[in-house]
Amino acid sequence: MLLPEIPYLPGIYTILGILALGVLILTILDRENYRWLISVLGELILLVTLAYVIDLPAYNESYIAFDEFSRFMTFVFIISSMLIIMALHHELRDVPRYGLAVSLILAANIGMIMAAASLNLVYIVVGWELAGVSSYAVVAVRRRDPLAIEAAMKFFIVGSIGFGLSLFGISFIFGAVGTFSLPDIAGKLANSKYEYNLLYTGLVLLISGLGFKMAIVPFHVWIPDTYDGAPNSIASFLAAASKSMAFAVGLRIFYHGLYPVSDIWSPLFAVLAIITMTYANLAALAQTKMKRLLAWSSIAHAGYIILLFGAYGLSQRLIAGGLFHIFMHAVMKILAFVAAAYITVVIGSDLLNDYAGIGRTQKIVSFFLTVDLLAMAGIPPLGGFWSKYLLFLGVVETGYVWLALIAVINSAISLYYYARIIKLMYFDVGKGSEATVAGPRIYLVPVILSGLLIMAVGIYPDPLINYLLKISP
Amino acid sequence: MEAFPYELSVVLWLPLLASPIAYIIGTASRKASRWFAIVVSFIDFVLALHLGLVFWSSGATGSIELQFVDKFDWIPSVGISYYIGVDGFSMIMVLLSTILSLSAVIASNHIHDSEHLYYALFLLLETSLIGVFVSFDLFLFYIFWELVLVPMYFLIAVWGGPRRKYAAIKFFIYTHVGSVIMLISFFYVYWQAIALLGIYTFNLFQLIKAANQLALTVQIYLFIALFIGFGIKVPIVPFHTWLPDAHVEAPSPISVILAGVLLKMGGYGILRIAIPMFPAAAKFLAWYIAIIGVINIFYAGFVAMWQLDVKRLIAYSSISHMGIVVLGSVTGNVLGVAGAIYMMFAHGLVNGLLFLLAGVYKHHVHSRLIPDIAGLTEKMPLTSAFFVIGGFAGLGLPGLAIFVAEFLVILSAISTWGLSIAYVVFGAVLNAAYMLWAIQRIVFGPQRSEEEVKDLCKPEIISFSFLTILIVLLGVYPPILMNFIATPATAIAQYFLS
Repeated sequence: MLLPEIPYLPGIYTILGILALGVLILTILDRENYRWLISVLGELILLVTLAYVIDLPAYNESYIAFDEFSRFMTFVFIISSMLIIMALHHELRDVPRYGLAVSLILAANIGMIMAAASLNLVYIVVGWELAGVSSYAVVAVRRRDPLAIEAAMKFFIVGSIGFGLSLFGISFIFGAVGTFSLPDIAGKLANSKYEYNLLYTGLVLLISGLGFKMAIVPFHVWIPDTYDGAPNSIASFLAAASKSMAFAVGLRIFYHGLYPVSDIWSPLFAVLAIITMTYANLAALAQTKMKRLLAWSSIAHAGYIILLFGAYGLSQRLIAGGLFHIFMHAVMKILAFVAAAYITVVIGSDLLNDYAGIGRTQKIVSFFLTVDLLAMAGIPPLGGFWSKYLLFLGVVETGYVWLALIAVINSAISLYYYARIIKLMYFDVGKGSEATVAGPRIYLVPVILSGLLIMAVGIYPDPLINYLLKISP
Repeated sequence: MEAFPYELSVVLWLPLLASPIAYIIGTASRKASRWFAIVVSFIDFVLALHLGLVFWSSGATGSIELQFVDKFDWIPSVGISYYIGVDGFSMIMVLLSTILSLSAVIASNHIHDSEHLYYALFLLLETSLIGVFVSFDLFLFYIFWELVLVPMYFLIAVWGGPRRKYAAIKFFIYTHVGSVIMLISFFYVYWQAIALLGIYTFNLFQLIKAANQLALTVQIYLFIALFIGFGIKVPIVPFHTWLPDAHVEAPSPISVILAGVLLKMGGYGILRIAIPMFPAAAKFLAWYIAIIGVINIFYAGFVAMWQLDVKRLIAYSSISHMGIVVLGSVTGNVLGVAGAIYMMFAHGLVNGLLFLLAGVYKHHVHSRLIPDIAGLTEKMPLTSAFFVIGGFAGLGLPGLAIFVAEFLVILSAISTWGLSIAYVVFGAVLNAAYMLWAIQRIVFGPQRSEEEVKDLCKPEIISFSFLTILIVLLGVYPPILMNFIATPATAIAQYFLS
């Protein structure tokens, strides 16, 4: 027991309450000269939440459940947000309403935690939209920057369409089975008490809606532009937390409610996974800007993660691997985006060619970025390798050897564009070679922390794997 | 005499732990980094030698049981453990790695550019090389196998010759593709082990047990995959083109490691993993593999004949010698396998010496082309003397290390396949031909260069004498090594009998 139990506020409401309080305080404190206070308070609130998350006993109500799955996902959201706020503190120094940005991130956390913990489609949708609205706003936090506004508009429109589609899909599903509760849906589907056509339409719509949020091809078009236009740390928030929520929601809906009809949705996801990873990896090869490359790499990783649904079957390792990769993807993307932010400050450009020679001038950031790129490519023994390994192991276990093979080939292709950055940083001479002035130190904190996490998990992943193997959504 | 607890782990990890220290103290003083690396390699060598002596004196040479085993669960949820140990075969490979690392690090006195990074990478390389030879968990083995590529890539790409980037990337791509092919095979066996034994494991012996139960056709495919993976490292002839480039472009001490230890990883993999896992396939394919070995011997021999660059010549002689290793490993005969292993060790020493000498020519005469370095005997008597010894050893002169191996392999090849393969003897003649010709041109040729050149300096003399003594010792008294090799070689040859 880390913290006193608050009476009358069971389980997840404690967490949501603390976060809501945080949102309130930070909105009130939103002054130019309170920047440090805001950051520290934001971190503290998240830290307290984290303590509760670790501490709370698991429980299960009919519509909301704080089980090990929600605990893990909440953990991922909060760790990501904590890392991101450190970077935000510096990156948004030109933005007057900084407190608002942090409070929006906390608000998004409320939505994400709720969406991941709900067992009822309506609750899921409410949480999802809360997270969505907060993140649209936070992308537009630089109100005067036309690029940021474009990014936010694109994100908003596409996000709303996605949301609308899934809402539409959910109503079809309701029409097919007559309930919003996931366990009840599972029961009805198992007894074949449903309208096939309604269900099928609903499923396709729901998958498209989720696809926008998960960033899978062909619902990915907004991703490169939005990531490119948003401030780096916000982009990493979208890639790390917001996307993880989409996967969590997907896991809940498909593994908790719709699993009896897995023969309908699983092939759809399998096809989407193949298209997503292949297309994204090929597109990433041609990128010249770091942020766009990271956006495409994030899409490719979404392709690996939706193997969770594409290779549906009874394998604990598949779920564990998927969750592990969601977590690792979040950490890796945060590191990469923040490191990119640092390097952008140092060399004044986001073009990959300008990274040339930075390995010799900015040693710390280059080292951790290299570790991160290798982890994303799946080089052992780094965290990104084990998660991919476990995920692909699960895919083979459920009998989709060919799917695993395609994923492995894709993984091999991805090594090329990651290694190209490493080569540029260390072997070439260019703008980076002259960047001898140190960048903002505070960016190094999340970079080093997540880098150490990736390495630690890489060297000794067993406790985490064992924990994940016990989780079922 | 007894080994300290975890001594093998210390031998394995010491260079890696020392590597960041070498980097840090190197930023303060360049000389310090070099001395530190020398001391660490020396300690590592002494510890390995101590292990070797314990191994011998405790009578472990007669047992196929692994010695000095350190075994912990690492990631039990997917069956990966930290499992290291040595048998006679691994023991001598560890000794070879530490001997050559020490010699190479001593001979790195021509490296003056970012020395701290050089020595840090060098020590990292040493750990990964030793790791390959002591891991008995295939996953660990694979990590070390891949880890070798990283420092090696940088060492070639940063400190190499004019075409270093091309050579480094070529080396990287070739060997990486090979290891991925190899990995597919590993994983297939891993699945098989899950199905057959019901456990997740990467333990080599368990996997061998599972793989032995596979049908012949499957075994053949998997064996070929492994053989390609290991064969690229050996290298076998169609996949050998990375080697001359890498050797020529790499700085000489790194060429020593490349030729001396890196190539042995391929032979080690074939003997340790490929044959025990798929004995039926090995038996089935033995004749074809023998032919590949013979092609290696002759092709590389002929190509070596017309090389003008000393390093390239030695590189091709390496390929030719590796052909003997490949031939020996599939004879299915204790002597042949023992000869192959003996060749791996002896070739490491001899070619190590020759590459170091090539480096001396490069740095003292500023050229490696035979016409430019011809006739320097009077000005560089010691260098020439060592070159003659190295060259004679390389051509298989009786009384020097390589002869023993060549003799054993050719003998057992003939005893296995009859006189149809006796023409391999001409491979030895070919070896003699290009080596003698090279010696004649370099040592006794007309002097072209008029400039003043220096002879060997002290660290070089120490390093070269050390290797030369070993070469002679192993040539006149093979039991030193044979004691270690005999039991593992018997065990490997057994697979062909079943």
